[in-house]
Amino acid sequence: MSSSGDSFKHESLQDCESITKYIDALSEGFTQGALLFMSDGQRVVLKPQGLIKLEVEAKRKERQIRLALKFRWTEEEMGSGDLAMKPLVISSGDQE
Amino acid sequence: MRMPAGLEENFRFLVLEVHKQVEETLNFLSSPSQRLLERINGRDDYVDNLKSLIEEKSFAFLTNTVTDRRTSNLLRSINTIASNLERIADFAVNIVNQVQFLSDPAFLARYDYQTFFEEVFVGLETINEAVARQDLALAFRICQCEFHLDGLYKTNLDQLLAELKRGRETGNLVTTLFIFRYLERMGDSLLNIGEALIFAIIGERLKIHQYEALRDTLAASGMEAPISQVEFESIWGSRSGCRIGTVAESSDDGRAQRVIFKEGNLGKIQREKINIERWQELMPGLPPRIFGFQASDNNASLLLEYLGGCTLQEVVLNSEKEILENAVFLVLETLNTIWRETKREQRTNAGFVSQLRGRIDDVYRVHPRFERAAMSIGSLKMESLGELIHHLAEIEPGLDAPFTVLTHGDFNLNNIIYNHNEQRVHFIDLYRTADADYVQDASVFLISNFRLPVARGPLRDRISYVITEFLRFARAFAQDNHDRTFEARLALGLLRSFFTSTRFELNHDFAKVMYLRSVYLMEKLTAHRGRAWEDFHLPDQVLIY
Repeated sequence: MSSSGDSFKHESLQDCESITKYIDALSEGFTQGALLFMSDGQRVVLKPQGLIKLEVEAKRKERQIRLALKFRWTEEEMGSGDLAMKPLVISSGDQE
Repeated sequence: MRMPAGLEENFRFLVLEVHKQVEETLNFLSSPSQRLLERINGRDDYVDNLKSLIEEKSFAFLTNTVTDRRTSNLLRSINTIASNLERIADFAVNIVNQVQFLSDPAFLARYDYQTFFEEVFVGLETINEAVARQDLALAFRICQCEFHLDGLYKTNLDQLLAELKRGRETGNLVTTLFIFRYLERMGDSLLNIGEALIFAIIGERLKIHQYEALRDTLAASGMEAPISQVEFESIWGSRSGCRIGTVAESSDDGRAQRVIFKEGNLGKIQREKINIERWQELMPGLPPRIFGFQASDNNASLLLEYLGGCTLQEVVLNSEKEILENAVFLVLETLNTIWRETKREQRTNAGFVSQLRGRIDDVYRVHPRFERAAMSIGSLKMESLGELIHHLAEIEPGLDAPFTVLTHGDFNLNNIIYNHNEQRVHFIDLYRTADADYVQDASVFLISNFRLPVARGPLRDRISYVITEFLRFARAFAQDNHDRTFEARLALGLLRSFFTSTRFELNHDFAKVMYLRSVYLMEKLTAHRGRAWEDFHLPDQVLIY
């Protein structure tokens, strides 16, 4: 419903017919390598890169259903970071 | 009108003396003195004598003279007023006599007793004019003193009880409580006085219904958000004994007819009166009876029958399933008759969009975050609320209703009364009645169910039951009457009511539930443009929570 600074938030009700437009828009963004979210003159541009952690969570509690999709990735540092050699880090557990 | 000689003068003096008595009591509380105490006790005898004099003169007159009904009614009410005035003077003496039990008379200064006195003065100062002008509005103002005084008493009582629990200065606290109790009882007497005046003016013995009066009093004091039923019930007890399973009418003593007093803008009150008369003609007994109507310059007052039974909201929330089913059946049957009998082949447009626009600022004041700007995700555009409403405004003129029916105009659950004993329903609050689109009443009714703040569970299932039954009925009526744009208009009406209802919903989460449904319907209608409206189908789920 609103967004500010580096975040964007939208909430709405959809039905099976209309919701696919949203899924398509996100899917298109991943294909093109950039997701653009705009609201009230504010822009949030996300460039999915590297490894993207995907979480799919489906839950049923009585008649209440929740299906959550989460994507997480880390943005590379800009500027000198592009040229600088970054040390290779191998670690176990969550990478965020 | 012939009156006993000198009676009016005696009466005016009595009012004046009681006023002085109360005034001096107030002075005594702030600075007690022996001299004042004696004067107050002395005046009490004088007040008693005046009251007896009025009584004797009236009775002698009524036995020896042939009088018309109006005169005898006035004399009866003057006597009732006189006894209640005398009672007020007695309470004043009682108050003064309590002060000796305070360890320090200054103890009282902790409490706002002055406001009680101000209210009693308003009542006393209104009596003479109300009698002279036979003015209903003034009579009601006197009745209102009781509701104001009860409110004050409740506030002070709560404070005193809390202090008593601490166990200190209990003697002083109990004495103070007595003093407030006497002030509160002055209110009871003022109510009797107001009702006696109403009797003199209307000629029937009526009792102002406290629950409604308090609601009006609070509304007039500028409290905009409607106060919940529960809060009223905590003050007054249930409206009419609508307890779970019983749905019994309150056991009134049966002597006096209970009434509701409405006062306000001349145009509005007059319109309600005309509408009630129209409903009465169409379906006798459906609206409340009118007991009195009085208009002056810009104001008017209306005395209406207080209808026994429960509001449909109380039935939905409290009664047994069988009773609920029966009540819904009766409402739908009544509506079906009204809609069929008042149907006129005349195109009409409810103007839902302008109804929404007229209240949009009120919604944003309560929920500023609802003002949705345009958004996009990649190439997908989500239009702003302003854009969506603009589309709806373009769509609506093409969605006329093919005919009109007589609509209630504010057909929410609280404006329908169900009387279990008589097996009938009544409509109240009829000032918006008009020949209009039945979808107006249908959408308001549906949303007044949906917006009940009830979480999912058995109670919500009952609400959904009412919604489903109503929807089924309205759809069948639309189909029988070849109303092809019903579904689209219903979507418009519902999105309007979903949206505007949020301004009364301070629980943000539930307000958002309704807001999102409203926006969903806006998008749904907008997406349907270019196709035939008779193919539009309202998704039922939007009404099920």
